[in-house]
Amino acid sequence: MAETTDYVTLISNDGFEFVMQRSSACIAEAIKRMLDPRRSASDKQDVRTDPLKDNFSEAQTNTCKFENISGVVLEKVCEYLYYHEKFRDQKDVPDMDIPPELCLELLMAADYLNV
Amino acid sequence: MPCSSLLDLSRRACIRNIDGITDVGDLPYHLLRPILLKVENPEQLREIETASPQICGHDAELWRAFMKRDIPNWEKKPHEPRNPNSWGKVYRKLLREDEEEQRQSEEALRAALNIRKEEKEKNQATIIHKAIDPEKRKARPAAKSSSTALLSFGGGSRTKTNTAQGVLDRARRETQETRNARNSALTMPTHLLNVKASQVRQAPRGMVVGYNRPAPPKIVGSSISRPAPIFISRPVVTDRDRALNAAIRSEREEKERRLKALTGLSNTGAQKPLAPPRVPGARGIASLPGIAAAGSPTSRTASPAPAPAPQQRKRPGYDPFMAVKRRKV
Repeated sequence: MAETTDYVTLISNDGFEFVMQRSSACIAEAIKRMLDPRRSASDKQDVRTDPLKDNFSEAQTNTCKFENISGVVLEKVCEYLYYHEKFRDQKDVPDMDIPPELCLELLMAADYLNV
Repeated sequence: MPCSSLLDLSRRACIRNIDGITDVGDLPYHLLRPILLKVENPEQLREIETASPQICGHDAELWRAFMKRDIPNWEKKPHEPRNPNSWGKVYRKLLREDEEEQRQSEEALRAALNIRKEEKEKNQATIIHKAIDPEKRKARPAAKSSSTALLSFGGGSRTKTNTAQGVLDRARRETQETRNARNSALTMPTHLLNVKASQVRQAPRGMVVGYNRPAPPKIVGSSISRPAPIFISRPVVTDRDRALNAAIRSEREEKERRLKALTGLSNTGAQKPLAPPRVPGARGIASLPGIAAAGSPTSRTASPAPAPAPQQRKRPGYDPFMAVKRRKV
């Protein structure tokens, strides 16, 4: 049985680990699904094809490994997730700062994570 | 959620930094579309295409937009590529053609303008700032070539030669001045001034002709000290004339003798001026009027003169070198 802890770990392809609250992490749809205790690997209702073979282990260990996202980008993703959480109830929030060298990769990651 | 998604955020960040994007990795076109729409430079788009060929087929709309922007009359030209991935090539080709056309029309325009300009210049006079007199040029060969500067220190002139009219005026004035200088009396050197006035190079022509003629026979008793004045330059004297003259003279001498005998004592006797007998048909006796003229004054002077024969003359006789007496009119 999977234990739903408060914190989840996101691991980048170069080995960086980021620990963050589950509630923030699950803003990202993909992460939410990955961490969600799945009923079965071949669940047809799951629209997105899960790139990770082992869903179960994810749910058990509360970690998500991303093979296609680098550490720096993942860090920015985490920052965004917290930013999102923070300004959840506000309007006209200022944009988060994104350095130019990351913006394309971030775009890629954002598309993958559907966030 | 009030705050924008990470997608939007990153898209916006990309657009902000559009100039630095040359490679979009393997992102699918639908993600990149808003960003690529903002690409200004077709070259940049070409680079992105090269780096990420997966966008090639989809970016047709982008190239179309570029064609619309850069190439005039793009609809009239064939602008659909055979290969849907080579829109970039089509754009480049059309751009090159357009540039070529522009260059050609520019050339044609320039040529047309030059023709007009050349025709105008043909009719205009080119101003040569220094005109060299050919005579003076022989004396002064190969002076240094002067500049055509219009400002020269100490060089002013009455007639400015910066227009065609000025050049012509100056040329006219200069020719006139040289002509005057050449012909004027001021050109006589000082040491020759008085010499020329008194030098006699040739005998006067009248005397030369007179010298060649036979001298008139001396009239005895009459003090004809004045030779016959010549009125015609070349008198034609024939033998007949001479014989005639001799006859006339002898007759006259006879008459004079008689007259003197008659009026020898009285000076103021009425004297009939002798008229020599007119000989009809005698032509060309040039000396006749001369002799007549000589006869009459000499006859008048002859009578008082022989009376006081031993007396001296009061006034000097006629001398051709004597100054002519001026009469007050």
